[in-house]
Amino acid sequence: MLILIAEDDELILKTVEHKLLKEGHEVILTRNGKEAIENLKNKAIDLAITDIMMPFASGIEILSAIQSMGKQIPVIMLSSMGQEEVVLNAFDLGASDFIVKPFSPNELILRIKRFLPK
Amino acid sequence: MLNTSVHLLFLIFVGILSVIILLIAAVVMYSFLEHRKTVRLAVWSDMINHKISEAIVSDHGERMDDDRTEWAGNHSFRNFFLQKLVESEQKFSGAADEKIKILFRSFGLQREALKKLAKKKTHFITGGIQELTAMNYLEALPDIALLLKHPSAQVYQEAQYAMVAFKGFEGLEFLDETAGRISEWQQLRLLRSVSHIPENSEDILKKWLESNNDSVVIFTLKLIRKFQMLSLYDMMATLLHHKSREVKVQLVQTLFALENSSTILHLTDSYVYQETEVQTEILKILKISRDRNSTDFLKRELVRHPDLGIKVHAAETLSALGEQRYLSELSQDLSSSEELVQITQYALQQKIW
Repeated sequence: MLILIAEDDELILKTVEHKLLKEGHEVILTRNGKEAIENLKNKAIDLAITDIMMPFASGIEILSAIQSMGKQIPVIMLSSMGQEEVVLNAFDLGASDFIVKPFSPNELILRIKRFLPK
Repeated sequence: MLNTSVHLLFLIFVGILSVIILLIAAVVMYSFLEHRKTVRLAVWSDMINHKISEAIVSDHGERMDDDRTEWAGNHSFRNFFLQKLVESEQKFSGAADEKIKILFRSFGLQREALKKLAKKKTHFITGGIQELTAMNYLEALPDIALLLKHPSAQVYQEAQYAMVAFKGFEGLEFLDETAGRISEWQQLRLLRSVSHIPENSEDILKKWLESNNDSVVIFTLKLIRKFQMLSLYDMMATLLHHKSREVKVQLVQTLFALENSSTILHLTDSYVYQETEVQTEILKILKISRDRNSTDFLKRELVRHPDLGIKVHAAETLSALGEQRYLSELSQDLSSSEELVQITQYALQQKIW
């Protein structure tokens, strides 16, 4: 599965990348929302994991961009404590799941497995 | 004469030029060193991020010390590594969090954190306590316990928090002796860190309720409220005669949180002996509880109490109890003072929740 990660925290980005590669997925790393939207437009991404707060375009803007592209890509949001309102908004815009930081990379992998083709 | 002046001017010019050149050299040198430091930190940051993510993903957490970096012995690198580990601990949970702690031990970074406890500057000491707490380094508890009596509030409060973070409720034993005031913020941090109270802890809590330190009593009341310790209700009710106004305000809230059939009676009985702030708190409780038995009491307070705030609270509570007709009559009564008329009209306009 080709998974896009949009996250501006280098440690989280690298850790999730390592974990996904180990699980046998292909990974595209993006460090801001604009870069993520470009990749979503041009590549056949199977799943996206995105932070909510990011430079240039937020996770919410990424969801809106996916909607306007008319693509059906499952999106897992990485949120922080106290972002409940934003998460609810994200679900309205088509987010598939969310995980709250601090988070367990193992749990993230389990959630991703739900979106694997059967 | 002219030659001497020209010579002197030349010397001044050379002097100023030398100073300017020296200043430029100093700025260039400083910028170079800062740049080198920034580049070095960026390299270290990448290296450490890689190390941490590798450790989190690896299946052999215990053997991570096999692969040491050439920088592992550098003091600045070790302190930077420690700082990054503490930051990363706030990003991950579960097994990943455990692996970060294993990494901390396998690089022996506790030595850096422990050294800070012996420093003179308070921010180093508090930093050391925070690092050892974040990394759950239990062996540091005796050293941290010694700091509970440190003269700096910053240090002893951090030590208090660490004791509770490590030991939970048992870590609160410092309350037996603490003389300093526990700030509101510190109380909140401690309350958040206590996840349960062991059985048979009533005697300990009673001892704290009798403390001479008012902030200890207030914190204990909040603790009782959080864990709904109903068995302490009678003991708490005796504190309605406590010397501290702050304690009594907190007590009224706690008694109401553990409310039983006689709570309102307890509060209204003691009302007359209380300071205005405590009376206001009791009126707020009556408003929330909507106890109809207190209607006559509230009517009396509205008419007779000299304090404007109390009158307003009494009127609002009567309104919440559905006494609009009484308030309306009072506002139209020609014998009512102008102040009373305004208060009743204000209460009548309030939205009833």
